[in-house]
Parts: sequence; structure tokens; C-alpha cells
Amino acid sequence: MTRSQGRALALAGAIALVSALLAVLWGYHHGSGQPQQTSMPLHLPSAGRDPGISGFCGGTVTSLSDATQAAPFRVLFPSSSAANQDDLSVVYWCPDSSQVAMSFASGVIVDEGPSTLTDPPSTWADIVKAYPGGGYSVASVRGQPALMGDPTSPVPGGQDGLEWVEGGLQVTIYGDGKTPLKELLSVADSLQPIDSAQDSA
Amino acid sequence: MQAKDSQIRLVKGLAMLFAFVLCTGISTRSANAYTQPDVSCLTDNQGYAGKVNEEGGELGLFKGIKGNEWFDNWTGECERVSSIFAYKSSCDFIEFGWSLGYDPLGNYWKAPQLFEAWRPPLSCPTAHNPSERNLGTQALDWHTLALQDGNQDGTWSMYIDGQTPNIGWATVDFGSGSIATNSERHTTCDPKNPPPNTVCDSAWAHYDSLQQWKPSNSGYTLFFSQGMGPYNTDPWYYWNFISETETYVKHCSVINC
Repeated sequence: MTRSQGRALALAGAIALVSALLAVLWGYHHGSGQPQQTSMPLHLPSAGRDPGISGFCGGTVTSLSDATQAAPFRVLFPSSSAANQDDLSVVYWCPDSSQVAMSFASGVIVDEGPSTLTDPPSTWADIVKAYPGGGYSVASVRGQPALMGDPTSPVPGGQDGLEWVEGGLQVTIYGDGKTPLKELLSVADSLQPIDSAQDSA
Repeated sequence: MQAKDSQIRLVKGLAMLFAFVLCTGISTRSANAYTQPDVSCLTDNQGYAGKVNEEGGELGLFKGIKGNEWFDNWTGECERVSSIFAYKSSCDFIEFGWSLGYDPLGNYWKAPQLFEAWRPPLSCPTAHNPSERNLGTQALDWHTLALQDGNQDGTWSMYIDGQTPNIGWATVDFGSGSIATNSERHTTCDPKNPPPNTVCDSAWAHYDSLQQWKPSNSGYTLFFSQGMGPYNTDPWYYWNFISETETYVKHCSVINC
């Protein structure tokens, strides 16, 4: 290799290196594959991913008596301090899934509908396994295996409720994120078929 | 003489290399001529600046939804989402799709990110569980997304182009529910054109050949969706969002109808 060839090669190498460096920097600045962390904390609920489901289950607001007549099952109604006739705020009826949801002033929601699960006890066990340390446990409610979510669990998620299936009816009781389990169990224990509840009121 | 020839060849080579790098740079520049908005685009006094949600849905009890979905390119969005989801109620849902722009974890993405989001069981008033994976440069292409709980055990699986993405699955407390398409964007002007970004698009998204699983189906037999959105005609048609004023997926025979 002559001296001039060597010089030319060195020049070529230098230019190629600078070009590559520029290209990499350009790509990094304008690239699309990597996330750019923001220093400002985001307000989570504003960042999308909200499915915007209306009427609790895509249903309509109705009266308790209308929901009771429309539902293809005997609606269970609570009479506890956290959920009772006087504190009933809203009733939703979702005809396509045959769900009745009752919302109370305490923040408690009672959701009832035909079971969507083939083997509920197995699902409860799967949930306990899927969220280790998540405050979930399986217990017995109204004589049925039930999923319990303890709001005092120090784990993100804020699970707070009970769920079980009785006579083919999937019953879910949601707390407001801080309702003690004891209170939710009282709601569950107080549930009676709506006609019986009204008779006894 | 030989040395001079080599020098000429080298100079020619260098010129070609320089031209290549320059062209690559220019094409990259023109493909990314948008500016990243400030994170404040996500919020205003109400916390929902220009939030547009457009959904098409079919109420009932389904154990899955599948459809071809268009993965769009980054055009300076504040935040954009296109997804399919299944839900039992606003307390119980699972969602699978792609997003651009700011995500709930504080990242800003310029390529579609695959994500799943759901509410853990019995956690009605609390936040979602988002999980996401970088899809790199797979924008501007159709991908088949599916979300299903075939045996209705409460564990929902997600598939993209027939494969399980590496973002896990979700165990929830429902095995069937209503199904829907979902499109979202933030700000009143997610720019469609390069700066000054004066032309804005809507939250449009494209869904083609949506299908559904019914609980009565044994196994995983698919049926074309017949009732999603307000139109009930040919189920092989496209599903488009083209306007902020639409509340449902539009059902028509061509893209961008």
C-alpha cells in the first residue's frame, strides 16, 4: 500500500465513522422503537385505557321493581347497615347479560347475574394463585366457596369484595376500596330474594 | 498511476457512502417530522383534554373477540389507543390492543406498543393493570388480534397473528361478557400533518373481519360478528372510525368509508 493510499483509507475510515455516528445519533433522536421517559409523573386515569362502559354493564338505569320483573332469576336484595332499601342509589339492568346491579350510598355495589364461569371454585383458586400476596383468599359465604378480597392488604389493586355462585347465580359484592370485610360479609348474609325482602320490610 | 486509480476509486466509494448516509438520514427525517407534545397534553382542568373515545360493541355473553386491526404510524400523538376488549361490567374488563404516545407508565412511544389492561377481580374503584411490549416497527400493517377465554375459566388469553405475545395473560372473575372495539385519543389536535400540525385526525381505527366466540360454541369455533355497532349487514365488511362524532364503529365495504 502506498502512502497516499494509506492516507485515503484513513480518511475514508474517519468519514465512515463520523457518518455512522451521526446516523446513530439521528436515529436515536428521531427513532421510534425506544420509549422516552418523562420526568413528570402522569395522572394515571387520564392516560387512556378507559373502556368507557356505560350503565355499569352496558345497561340502563331502572327501578328495583322493573329490574326484578325483568331478571330471569330471583334478585337477592340486602338489608344490612351498608346496603339496604333506604340507601339504594341506582339500579342497573343489563338485558343482554341478564345482570342486575344495585349501587348503595355507602359505595357498596351488589352485582347479580347468571354465572359466566364453568367452575367457579377453580377460578377462585386460580385468582389467589395469580395474584400472590394480593389479599385474595377463598372462604365460605352462604355455604358456597367464595373469593374474598381484603381491602387492608398492602398490595396495589385495592381489591375489596366478595364473590360466589349460588344456584347458578354469580353474586359479586364490591366495597368502595376500604369497606371492611366484616361489613361486606354482613351484606352477603343479609341477602334475601327480593319478594321475601320486601315482605319482611 | 495505480495509486491514482485507487485514490479515485476510494473517493468514489466515499462519495457513495456519504450519499447513502445522507439519503438514509433524509428519509428518516421525513418519516419522523413530527414533534413530541408536552406531557401536559394529557390533562387540563378536567383531566381529560380533548379525550375522544369511540367504541363499537355488542352486548351479551361472548367468550372472545377476534379481528384484523390496522397498526398506525406515529404522527405526533399525545396519546392514542386502538383495542378490542371484553367486559362484564365497568368493574370487570380486559383489553388488548396497541397504543402510541404517552402511556400510563410514563413512557412516550413513537411506534405502536402492544398492551393488555384489566381490572384485578373485586377491585372496582381502582386502577388498571397495564402491561405492554414494544412492537418495534410493525406500524402501517394489519395484525390479527384475538382475546378469548375458550373454556370460560376466567383466564383470558391474547394472541397476535396467531402467536401469544410475551405479555402474559390475565386471570379475572368472568368467563364471558360483552365485547367491543375501542379507540381513544387525547387532545383536541393529535396532528396528522407535520408541524405546524394544523390538520388533526380523529380517533379512527380500522377493524376488519371482526369475529366472536359465543359461550354456546364448543371449543374455539369462530363466528363472524353480526351485531356489533349499528349496522347489521355483510359481516365481512370493514369497521371504521372516521369521525369524532361517531359513537359506534362504522360498518362499510371499504377502508376510510
